[in-house]
Amino acid sequence: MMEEHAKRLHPIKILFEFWKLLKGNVFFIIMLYILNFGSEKMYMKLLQIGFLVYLVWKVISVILKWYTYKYQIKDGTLYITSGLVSKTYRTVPLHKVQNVQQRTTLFHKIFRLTSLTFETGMTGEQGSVPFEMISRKEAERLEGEYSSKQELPVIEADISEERIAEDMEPAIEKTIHFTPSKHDVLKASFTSLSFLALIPILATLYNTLDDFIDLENAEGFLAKLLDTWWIITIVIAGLICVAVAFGIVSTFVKYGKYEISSDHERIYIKKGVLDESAFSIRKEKVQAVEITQSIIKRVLGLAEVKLISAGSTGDEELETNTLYPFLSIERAYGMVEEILPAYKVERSMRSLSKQAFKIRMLRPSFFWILTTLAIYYFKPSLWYISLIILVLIYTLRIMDYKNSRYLLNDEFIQFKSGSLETSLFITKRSKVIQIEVERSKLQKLFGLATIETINRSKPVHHTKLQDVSVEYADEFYTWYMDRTKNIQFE
Amino acid sequence: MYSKIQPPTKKISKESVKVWRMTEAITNLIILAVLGILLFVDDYFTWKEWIGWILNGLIVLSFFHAIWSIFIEPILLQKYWRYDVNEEFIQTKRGAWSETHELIPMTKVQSVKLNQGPFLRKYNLYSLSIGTMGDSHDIPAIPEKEAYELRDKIAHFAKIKEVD
Repeated sequence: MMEEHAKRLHPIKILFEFWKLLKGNVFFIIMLYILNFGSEKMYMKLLQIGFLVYLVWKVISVILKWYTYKYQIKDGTLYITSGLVSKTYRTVPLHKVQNVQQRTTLFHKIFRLTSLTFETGMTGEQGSVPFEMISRKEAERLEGEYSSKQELPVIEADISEERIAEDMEPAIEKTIHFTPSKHDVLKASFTSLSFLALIPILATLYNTLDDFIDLENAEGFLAKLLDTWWIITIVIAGLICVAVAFGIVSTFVKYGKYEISSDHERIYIKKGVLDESAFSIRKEKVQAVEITQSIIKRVLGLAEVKLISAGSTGDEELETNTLYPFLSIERAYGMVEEILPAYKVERSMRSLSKQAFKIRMLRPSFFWILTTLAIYYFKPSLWYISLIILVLIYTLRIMDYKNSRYLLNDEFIQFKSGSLETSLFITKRSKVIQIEVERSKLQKLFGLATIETINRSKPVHHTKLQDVSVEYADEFYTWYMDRTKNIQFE
Repeated sequence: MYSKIQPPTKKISKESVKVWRMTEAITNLIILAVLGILLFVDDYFTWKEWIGWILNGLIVLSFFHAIWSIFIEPILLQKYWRYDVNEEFIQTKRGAWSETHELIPMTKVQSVKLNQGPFLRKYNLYSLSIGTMGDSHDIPAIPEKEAYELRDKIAHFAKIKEVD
């Protein structure tokens, strides 16, 4: 077969853009062409014509944009041409791609399409390379190209179909590490308190109903009904059932079809029932691992594991880079070691010294001082608020002190801190791009220091641990200096 | 802190104190002028009383800030600023009250840049800014010859690329 041609996105992309255009301008369209149809006013006519010209121009430009946007993968490099009058040529070496995301929304599903995004570590909008409307087969091919080119730096120009299929084979040999059971979904729906989400929905429903039916007058009848205790019990029980069912369904829609898998070079996270999203990252591109636990999760022994990538991870709400957020803590640790064999998570870590406790009790809280001054000045009768704030601040401080842990484990560094929500950060020395040690006057007095690592991510990830001993800060410095011993050069 | 590593020793130019003083003087003058004009307008149009109070408070505050940032801060900044560059790392250390030590691997450096504003030009100084993957780091006020040498040195060392 001959060398592959530059390709366009699927033509449905045009339809999709039309839909977006219509949605964005629906207000003007109704205003101008429905409500004021056949209006005699001069300015209205001008506006109608003007807006029509604008719409026609938009429609043409959507088609032209689709027509001129072409992409091609050659020798492990992605070439994109776009633009009609001023042409733009983009070249993206595939080995610079940090992670790949695939999203299939309902709209995509109707046409059996999908969207794929290559994320590079570049800052700004240039960082991601999206393919908004492509067939699933094409998405598979692109992902296949991405993984195959990584292994074989030199590849013949003509790749046969069989060849591609061969290259994709290792990707099929995936080990599935986790899919949630019914039990997991139940646990997740209670932990995320998703059943509470029914309350605002009910409130809106009541309000809307109120507009149509006179609920005020119905209240007399309701009050009579509510007098009988067993009706109240049934109503409350019914409401609880509905809330729980709602919570479980909404959790299932979000987290139900989770799948964490990996092959020898990549990690795949798939999720979503209606709106599917998939995230994949090469193991060596994982910059760090973060394990977070909210207070509820700590009580229930659950944890959330996040893979930090240097590229953008898309919509924050989608949590694309999160391994299942309701893993049991032991499973979470195990999973990290399973999917990232290069990582070792040490469970027992060092805690902070007595000196650190003292300094944390002594460190002045400017927030408390300012609020107390304000209360003293404006409303001394509210003095107890100052006391409550003080107690809160100290509780949080003690919790943070108790939760803080750290460890230098050969090539790895582990930090854990946080008061209500704790976060354990694990990274490799070679992935740390810079370190910092800070010592305030107070810390010097107590022989303590603050250590900080900076990792690639979007935005850059700073991880700080306050009040470790100076000796340890020194060790930390030396540890980082030794990075030159085992990094790879290009 | 520095049991096994040489602490950074290179200082920045003494002239930097003068440069900072001039920039700070101008900035503070502008702030005071703006506040002064506002106070005058407040008086002229008889705005609400509390606005006058806030303006007066701000003027007093910025007066103290001016004294601090013109007369004291530049001396401290210059006195405690240290840096060093070797084949593998860039080290900086700064701060009188709270000390910050930074360690940046050469392989993570993406760009080096020399800057010179009008005041720096007066004393023939340059400020060097080092861009890494996430951040940029400044070494302010280095004499011309040293600055050029340092730039070329960093550029040379940073050529070695590690796999990321």
